[in-house]
Amino acid sequence: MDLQIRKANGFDVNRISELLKGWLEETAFNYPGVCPYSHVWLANFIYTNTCFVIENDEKILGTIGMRYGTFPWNNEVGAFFCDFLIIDKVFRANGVAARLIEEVKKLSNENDMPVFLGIMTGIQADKKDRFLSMCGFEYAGGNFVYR
Amino acid sequence: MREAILSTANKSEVIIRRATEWDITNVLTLVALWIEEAAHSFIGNVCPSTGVYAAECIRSKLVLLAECEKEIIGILILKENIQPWDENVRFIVDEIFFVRKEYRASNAARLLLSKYKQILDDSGMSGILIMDNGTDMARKDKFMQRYGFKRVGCSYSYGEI
Repeated sequence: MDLQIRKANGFDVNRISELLKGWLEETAFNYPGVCPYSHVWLANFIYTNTCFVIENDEKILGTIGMRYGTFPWNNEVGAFFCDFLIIDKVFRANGVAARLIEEVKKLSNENDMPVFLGIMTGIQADKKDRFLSMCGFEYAGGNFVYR
Repeated sequence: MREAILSTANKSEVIIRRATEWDITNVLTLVALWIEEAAHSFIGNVCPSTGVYAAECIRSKLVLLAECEKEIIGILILKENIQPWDENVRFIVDEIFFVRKEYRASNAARLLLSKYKQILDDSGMSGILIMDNGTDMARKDKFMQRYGFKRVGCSYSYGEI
């Protein structure tokens, strides 16, 4: 599979929204669904942050959204925070996620900034643990929900 | 208004209450201890903006303190957020959850979580707890699940400053 990575633009909002919808249907947690506002949020996110899409034959298979920010308690230290990492269910196990993660690591190294990435789907946690450890990420702690 | 939960399980009573403006030094002290304990050097240190952060958190009335014999032994800083992709859905997330090392065998952490759950039940919002300081993770995992929080994933970090 010939995978190409590029920065997302406004024309990608609909496809990223579809991916988000698929992710929300899959997750074990009762998140709110995609609504008209989601497109506004996505368009704004793409414009103001760093969002990559990965495609094959001009079809977007996955996306990752990175937001530069500081810590609430310290505005002198910056990091990239991953707001979403979504791969189309059909195209998993094709190295799609690994390529996106490589791009994030490149971004981190180029800017000399750490990256924080949170997994909140409640499914396949062990598999994701193994995958991110193999990619050189360090486990920082569990994420929990109530209700 | 002082909201308290009294613990009768220990000899010393642990009281949970909301922080007031008079607690800013206590809040800063516990935030500093939490940062000091974190496994990641890039979480930062106490800086001038930490005082502003503590004051703003207190003002939002979402800072819970655990007090034992007039000493502040634990803190849970919460924040109300909107779900990024749906502005009509709100939830309450933790930013800092910390109990002084010497009081970890007390029930301070459990009482802080109980109060958090009560706030969630009263408001009808969902709660999210993110354990990301990289220390004592297996114990924290067990603890959260024992007290009714469902584990949905983990946090990871990459790179250094």
